[in-house]
Amino acid sequence: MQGMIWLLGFLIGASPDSVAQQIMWRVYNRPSFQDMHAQITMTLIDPNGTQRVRKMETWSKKDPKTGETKMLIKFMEPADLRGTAFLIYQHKDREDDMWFYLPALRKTKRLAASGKSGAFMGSDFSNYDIGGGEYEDWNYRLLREEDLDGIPCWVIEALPKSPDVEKKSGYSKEIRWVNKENDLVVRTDHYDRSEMLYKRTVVKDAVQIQGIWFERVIEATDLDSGHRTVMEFTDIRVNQGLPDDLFSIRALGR
Amino acid sequence: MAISWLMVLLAYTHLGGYLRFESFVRVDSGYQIHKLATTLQLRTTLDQPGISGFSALNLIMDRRAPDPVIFRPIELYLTFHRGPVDLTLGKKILTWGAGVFVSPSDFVNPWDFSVLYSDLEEFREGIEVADFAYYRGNAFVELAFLPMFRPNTYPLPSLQIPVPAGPDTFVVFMDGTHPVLPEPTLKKGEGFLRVGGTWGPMDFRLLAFRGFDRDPDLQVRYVWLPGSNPQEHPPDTIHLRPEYRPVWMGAGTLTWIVGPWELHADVAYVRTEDTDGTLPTVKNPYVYGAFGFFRSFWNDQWSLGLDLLVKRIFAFGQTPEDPMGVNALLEEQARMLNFQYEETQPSLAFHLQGSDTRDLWRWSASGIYDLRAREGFLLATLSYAWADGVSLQVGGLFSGRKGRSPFSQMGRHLGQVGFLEARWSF
Repeated sequence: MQGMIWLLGFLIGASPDSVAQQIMWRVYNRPSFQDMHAQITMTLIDPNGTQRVRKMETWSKKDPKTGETKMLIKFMEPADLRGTAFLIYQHKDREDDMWFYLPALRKTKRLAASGKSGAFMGSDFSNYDIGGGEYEDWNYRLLREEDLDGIPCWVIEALPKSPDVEKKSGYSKEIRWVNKENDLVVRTDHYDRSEMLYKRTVVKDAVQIQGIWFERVIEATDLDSGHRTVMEFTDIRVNQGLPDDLFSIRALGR
Repeated sequence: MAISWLMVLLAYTHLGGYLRFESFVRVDSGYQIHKLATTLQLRTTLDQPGISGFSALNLIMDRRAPDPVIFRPIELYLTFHRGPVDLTLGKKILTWGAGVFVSPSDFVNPWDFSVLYSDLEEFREGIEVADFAYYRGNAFVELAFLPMFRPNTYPLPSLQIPVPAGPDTFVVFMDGTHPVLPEPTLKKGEGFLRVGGTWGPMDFRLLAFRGFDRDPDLQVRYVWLPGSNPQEHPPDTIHLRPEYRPVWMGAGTLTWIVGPWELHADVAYVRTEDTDGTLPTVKNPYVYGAFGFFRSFWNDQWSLGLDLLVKRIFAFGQTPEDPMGVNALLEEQARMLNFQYEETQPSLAFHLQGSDTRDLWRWSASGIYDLRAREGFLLATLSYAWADGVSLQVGGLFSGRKGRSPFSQMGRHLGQVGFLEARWSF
């Protein structure tokens, strides 16, 4: 089907750029869950093989009217971080609202949504990777079609639309492999602001839940240092009708 | 029966805590060991529909303490949830405020200034509370009753001063070991009302508190020799004791996100019994504000918070003069406890922290510098995450010696301290 769209675009004179825009629009606008709960295990592996483990529990809920998402993340491990929690309201038209609860201080603090290109909890994922970014942040160009480990893919180049996007994402370019079967981005090569390839994220496992594809295991590798992070989602529960008050400051410290 | 009840409880609770070894030495006094302690903390967390709870209990074994083994309950409370309402009963840490290190509105939970180098939960040990809160989204109304007063902790002076007064000499006795506390009755209980909410990029809180001051004033008792005339002679002795007096406080905080900046203001007005400033032994009403920012740099690896703290004393210097000069003397003694040395007391407070990209190394420095007294307090730490839940930390605590604030007073009592800590969290 996707091949037909590509062919149709070609026949009606659409440029590879506009085809790429269509593909990426579908990627960003895949059907998604109204709400979701998951346990996340993040394993940080240094080049010597030493592992450090971070465990989190996360809940998220999308507003069907505005498309904005509320997210609650609670850290379970390591033990010295247990109870630390983030509450994030992702907005379409303005900066996200963020609060975090630090059990050591017994206090909820409001946070400015800065430093998105910074590492998420010392891992190889950046805060921007975790937040997912926006379709509108990038210009897309179809480079080619190729099989990746037997999966037919479109290979799309994404360039930041503005210096601001480049700054907040920390990337000057991304090359994304999009699975033609399910519109999942299965691999991304990230180029730093000096245009050097330095990081690769690969979806190692995906599952279909209630007809919707979901990346279950993702690995990010720092190609310079060899440091890796594997993020695995378990206990995934969707569309349970999570209550709104779960996504409130009240719930942060509980 | 008790065992099965305990088994049921354990099935619904999460156990955790830490084991910590710490060693403190005075770097200004021949590297004298100030503390050599092992602390075991056990934490229990309960989270079930309709009820949650938390307890943290410390068992401290300190070779340098008068009691080598101390059992210290930090917190122990249960919260009952029903719809938008929470009811919390027990001993709980109530820390508030928007300031980076000190928040004027953070008045209710007492401080233990003698252990400022420890975790917050040790220098802000919980206070017994019955707390009712109603929530609507991120807005709330909170009403609380605190049945028993608990003061700030720092060494109170005991001294004896002979004072020449014309042909006579009288003696001032200051007894810091027996402070006068409010009676432990429900009638002397304290209470507060707090409301808060969120409006776009702004969070606000308002607080009204009625209770007792966490810092003491002075109780004074004059003694004349038998046969002497109080109209003609000064007293033979003046006995002073710290006394915790009623206060009323109104406070507000505002946090405002502007781009990468978190801007904040935290202002409290404290009304004391000495509204016109004429009582030498009672502190004057004052307003205390913190105004500053917090922001992160370099991909969140560094962050800095900076506040200008200003305390303005009302009716300052209104104590009436008396022929014997007793009022001036009492006021001088009172200032050692209430720190009202200047009409306007500006300070800077900061908190700087950073980490490496892998979050293995972390460093931080927090402090206050009194711009008038030119003295301060600095706590600096460097830690390394050796493994998951295992950390090593070194640090230092440095404080001024004039003692014009509870923070800098620790320089007199604790000296300049270096410390080492190893901790395993489980």
